[in-house]
Amino acid sequence: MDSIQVPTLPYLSQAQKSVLKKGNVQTVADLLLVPQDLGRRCRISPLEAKSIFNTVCQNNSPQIRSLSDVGDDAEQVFSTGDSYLDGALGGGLRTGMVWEVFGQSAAGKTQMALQLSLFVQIPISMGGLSGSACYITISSNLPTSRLLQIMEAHPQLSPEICNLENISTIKSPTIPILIQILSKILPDLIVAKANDPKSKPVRLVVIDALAELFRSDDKTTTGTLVDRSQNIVEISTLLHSMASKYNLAVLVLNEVTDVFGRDQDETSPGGDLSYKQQSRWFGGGDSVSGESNKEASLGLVWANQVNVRIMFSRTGRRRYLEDSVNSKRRKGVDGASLSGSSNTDTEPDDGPTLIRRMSVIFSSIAPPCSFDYIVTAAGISAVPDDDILSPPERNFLPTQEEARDDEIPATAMGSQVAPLDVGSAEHDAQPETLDTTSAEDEEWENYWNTDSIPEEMYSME
Amino acid sequence: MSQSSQQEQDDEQQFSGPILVGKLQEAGINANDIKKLIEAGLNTIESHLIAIKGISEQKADKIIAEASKIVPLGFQTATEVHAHRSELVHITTGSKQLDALLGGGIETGAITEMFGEFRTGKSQLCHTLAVTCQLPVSMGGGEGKCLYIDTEGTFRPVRLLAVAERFGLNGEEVLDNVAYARAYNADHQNTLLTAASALMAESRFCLLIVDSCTALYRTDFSGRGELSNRQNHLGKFLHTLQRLADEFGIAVVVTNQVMSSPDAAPGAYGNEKKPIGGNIMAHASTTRLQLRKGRGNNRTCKIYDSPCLPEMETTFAILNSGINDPEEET
Repeated sequence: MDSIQVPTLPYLSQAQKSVLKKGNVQTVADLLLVPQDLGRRCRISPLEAKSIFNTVCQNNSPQIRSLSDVGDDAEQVFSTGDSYLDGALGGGLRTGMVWEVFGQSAAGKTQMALQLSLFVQIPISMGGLSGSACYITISSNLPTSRLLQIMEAHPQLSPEICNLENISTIKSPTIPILIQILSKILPDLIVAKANDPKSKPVRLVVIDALAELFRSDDKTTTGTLVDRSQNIVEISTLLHSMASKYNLAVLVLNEVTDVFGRDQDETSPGGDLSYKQQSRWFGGGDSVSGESNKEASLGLVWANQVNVRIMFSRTGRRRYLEDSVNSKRRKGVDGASLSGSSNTDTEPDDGPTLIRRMSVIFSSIAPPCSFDYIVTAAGISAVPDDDILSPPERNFLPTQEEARDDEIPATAMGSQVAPLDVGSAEHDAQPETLDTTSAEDEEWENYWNTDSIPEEMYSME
Repeated sequence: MSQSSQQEQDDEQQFSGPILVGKLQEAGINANDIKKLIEAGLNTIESHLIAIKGISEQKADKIIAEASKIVPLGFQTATEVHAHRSELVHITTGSKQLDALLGGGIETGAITEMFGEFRTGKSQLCHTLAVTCQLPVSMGGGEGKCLYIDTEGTFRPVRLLAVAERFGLNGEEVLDNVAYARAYNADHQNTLLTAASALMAESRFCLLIVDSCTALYRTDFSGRGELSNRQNHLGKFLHTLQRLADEFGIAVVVTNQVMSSPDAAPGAYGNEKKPIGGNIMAHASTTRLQLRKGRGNNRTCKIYDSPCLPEMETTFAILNSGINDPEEET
């Protein structure tokens, strides 16, 4: 209904149509979105604008639909490339929503975004959407060699099903440019791609990273905060309307700020709801120690705009992963040397892998959960652990998801056992790639070794 | 909003070279206004138009409108970006192993941060880079001058001469090609960047070194009360650095100090020192390198954060002739 052209409307007079044409109001959607501005845009009196508006509204009143009709154009889901991660996110990345991934530097936010911009391209039969991605960067450049490396190293990806051609990128160093891109350049590109049968339609838009735009202010005053809120709302409105209009997923990366002394004043006087107190429930995770030290930046206004908020963090833990994982990584490192940078000279990566922590803080389609993950040459993969405090529950999804149910590992089920049943949880929750006992032993051994007084202490100058 | 503005920027300028504001004159902008822009340190079209005295909001809008016509703005495919990026110049560090770790050397158009304790080779790496960036591209250089902002008073031209000798460069020319400035406080450090922008519009630079980026912030601001101010100031400084890196396609190398966290439990590698500057510093740098001491002249460099490099480490040596590969142990 929204795309009905104004000139085809039978109930408008010829004169009305011509003024609308002058104001560049082409579709009913245009007309209904700007009732207040209509008069100004078309240079007609407010009264006249009102009458046009009313006529169109009366003749175009939307029908209330039953859910069974809506089912057809429901949102679609594509895989992240890791079945456990898919399960935790409610089946994968869903279109029509704004997803936020935030985390400290070097937590793997960009890796996630890169991986997703490749996985959106794979055929629908393999869990993708056969779409393309738009990658908007703020200050960095798109790390294309890393994209090639993921493509090379990930078992599910191959150059036949995804390539760099299907990732468009643009740099947007300031807020006005971003708004210009989101309101004009990007919709044009989406429409052009949708109309071109040879190219894949845009199904994913990434912004890396939103908070960088708001860093250059001099002083934090009420004025700059008001400006910031206005800009955030404007950007997120554009994102949401784009997500629903073109049925695409929007992934926004965000940064973190440190949290100071939240533990002291547990109860604020007078029972006031202060942001500082409340933000612990939506601003960051608290599944492992240290995770609650950071929270998402951009404050309450932005927190209200996102559908899903996922936190990435680095833990202090390292773990030796069993050979099957390591050999996969090795392959990736070799792959990198093929694609330009020669890593053969450097030491082989024999060290323990850093364990990172991912928490789904809130999500409109999946329950909150928390689990470990690692970043390898092939991208992000989850390491389901024996953390029985927050078992990731699998959200059973209708329709196309059922086809892939059998791929979801039994670990999700296994981690739901009673809290006391640690032993069985541990065994069920570990996929065959991970040998916990020996890994843990090695970790401790390593710890005791390194903790002894280093050699250079004896030869101090 | 007095901070009325913005400028258009394109991904290609680092390959095609920045466009000077003088070109705006052809587009009908008053010569006087252009002079004001230059005085304010804006020499290329791709830059911020922050509230400059004597430029009204309308005038700013007009300048922006004309500027955006000159600078193209649109989506590129990743294939195109990849083609551009494969041409990207990397500046050699002098050590083959270190170059391999970094995927060819220090990346231009991005901020590389090096942090570590004292005596880990941060400044030595800077000195070597100041020379190698003048080498021809075929030898791993950038064929450009170097701008060195020193905040700790550790700049020693003698070291440059020693490195120049190793690469067979004329010592005097090498020194001529390094623009040096000593910053005395955080504000001064920031204003130096304005002057830097003007210098870079005049001749070809390919490296900007700030050694150390955070030392003055550590002394100028103290305590949690001034933390917010400090981080704002630092954020602005780093934003300007990123802007310079984009506009002129130069490599930006900053060094950073570390702090120990007494209350943190020792990890598997003992109590690791953390870089200072907090989240602002962490998010702003594209590549973060952690330097550690090793045996004798050897130092270890580890990739701490990078969008495209895996977490790996390698060893390099500090010799009289600058950074080099460690000698074979026999």
